[in-house]
Amino acid sequence: MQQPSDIASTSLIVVKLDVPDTVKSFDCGDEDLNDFILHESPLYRKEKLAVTYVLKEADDIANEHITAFFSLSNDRISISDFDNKTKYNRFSRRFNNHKRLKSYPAAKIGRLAVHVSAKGMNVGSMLLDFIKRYFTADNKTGCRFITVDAYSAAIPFYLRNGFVPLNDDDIDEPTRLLYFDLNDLDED
Amino acid sequence: MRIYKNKKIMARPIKETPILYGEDARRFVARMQEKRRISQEERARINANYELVLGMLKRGEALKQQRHATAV
Ligand SMILES: CC(C)(COP(=O)(O)OP(=O)(O)OC[C@H]1O[C@@H](n2cnc3c(N)ncnc32)[C@H](O)[C@@H]1OP(=O)(O)O)[C@@H](O)C(=O)NCCC(=O)NCCS
Repeated sequence: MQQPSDIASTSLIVVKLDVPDTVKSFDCGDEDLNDFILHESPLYRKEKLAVTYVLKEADDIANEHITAFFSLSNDRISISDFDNKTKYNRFSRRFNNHKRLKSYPAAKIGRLAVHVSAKGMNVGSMLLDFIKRYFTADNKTGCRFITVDAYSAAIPFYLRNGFVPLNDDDIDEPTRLLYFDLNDLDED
Repeated sequence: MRIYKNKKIMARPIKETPILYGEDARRFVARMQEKRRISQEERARINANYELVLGMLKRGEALKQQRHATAV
């Protein structure tokens, strides 16, 4: 694996995109993911649904040559005592009671992609490592899991990085929900 | 949104995390209680990558503030 020091000496920076910021061009090899960063991410940002971070050269002020991006939001994993959704819905309609649901706080990677020119150089894994530690090192509000809505082509990449599928309901869908347990990083 | 063959196409929305029921819920809770630990080597790599990217983020935010200050 490439050592972080290989890119430590470069002038790469990470910035959080603000509401007026846009990305001018990006190609990760997937049209849908490109469209997300070029056109959709500002909408998520404006509505405060997700924040996008870009990795780029320090002199790329207009975001014309970004290397990678990732979008983060608050999330939770909820588990129910019920066997299925129908039983749960019937119960909660009748009693208007959500107590039979237990939730664990999580942070969600909505989208993450690496430019075609930087693929396979461990940039994606480096960003995942950062995200995992970011939420444990600075666990301000409690966060147990990292979830990700992963494009099916990228699933092997997430499995290699310790993520597992939440269930098999979305096995044939274009994206799947996977998660990483931050307790896996504990030292004891 | 992009135009493809004269049609407007929206990027796929970020999917909601589903509620887990039945066997899925049981498997999830069981796995949560298992003790899995990453290797020392992996931990060292994660920590190094965290420090590296955190440095990039701090540099990025400082540059942004600098530019903002000179623009005002
Ligand atoms: C998926 C993605 C985020 C991975 O980022 P990356 O920086 O290229 O990945 P890394 O270099 O950190 O890869 C880490 C490991 O995962 C593996 N991997 C990466 N992408 C993979 C993929 N799509 N399928 C299988 N394995 C993959 C790598 O081989 C590597 O293993 P290694 O350490 O044994 O060499 C990136 O390729 C991307 O943005 N893809 C978006 C476009 C897309 O999904 N296209 C579909 C075809 S890949």
